[in-house]
Amino acid sequence: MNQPVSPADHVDRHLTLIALGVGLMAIKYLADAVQTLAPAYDVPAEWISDIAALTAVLAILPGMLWLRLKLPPGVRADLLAEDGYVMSVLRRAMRHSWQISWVVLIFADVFVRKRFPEIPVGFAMQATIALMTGLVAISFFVILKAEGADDGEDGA
Amino acid sequence: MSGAEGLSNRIRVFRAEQGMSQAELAAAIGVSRKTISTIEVGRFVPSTIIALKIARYFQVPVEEIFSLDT
Repeated sequence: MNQPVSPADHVDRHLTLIALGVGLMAIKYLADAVQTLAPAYDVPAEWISDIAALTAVLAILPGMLWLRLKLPPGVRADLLAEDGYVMSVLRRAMRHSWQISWVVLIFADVFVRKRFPEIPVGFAMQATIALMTGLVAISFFVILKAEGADDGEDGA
Repeated sequence: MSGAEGLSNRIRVFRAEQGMSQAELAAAIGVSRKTISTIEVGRFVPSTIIALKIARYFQVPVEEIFSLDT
């Protein structure tokens, strides 16, 4: 039987699952955008989109429920607690996503929109969502891996 | 960058004196082990509340645990 986790560790794992879910949604929106722009790739893009959405629903939600079950009875975890390290990483990932997306969207507005006015609105929306969510997920896991590789494990 | 430059701490020393692990300290003050380990190595600057909880746990003023690098 698995050992119960502390509420704070539960929150960390929950946030990691959320970031994973955001990454899967980025793949879904990217595949949708490809589908909108390039109908020739319609079938594979549709499959990728469906698989990503399905994985997000079938893996992330049960994962969250499983984590909830590992908490000791009667113990609640504050999933919105702002204090922890992993929450700070998620905030930084969102900040990176916003900054890069802002630059890319301004570049696209200045250099792409006027030259290619026929670009479908649906593609622009889906590509923007894919960019923003993808950057959150990538940035989150890159920071976590880079900083967590040597996190001074115990030594009590 | 985590913004952790400039703040050093002696959590590891206090833990060693009491023979406790990161996980035990984390559980005692209600944060994750990862939070304690990243604070210890100076990668994460804790909130004032966490800093005060750590100081209260070791029963010392917060300045004995955290100090600014000069």
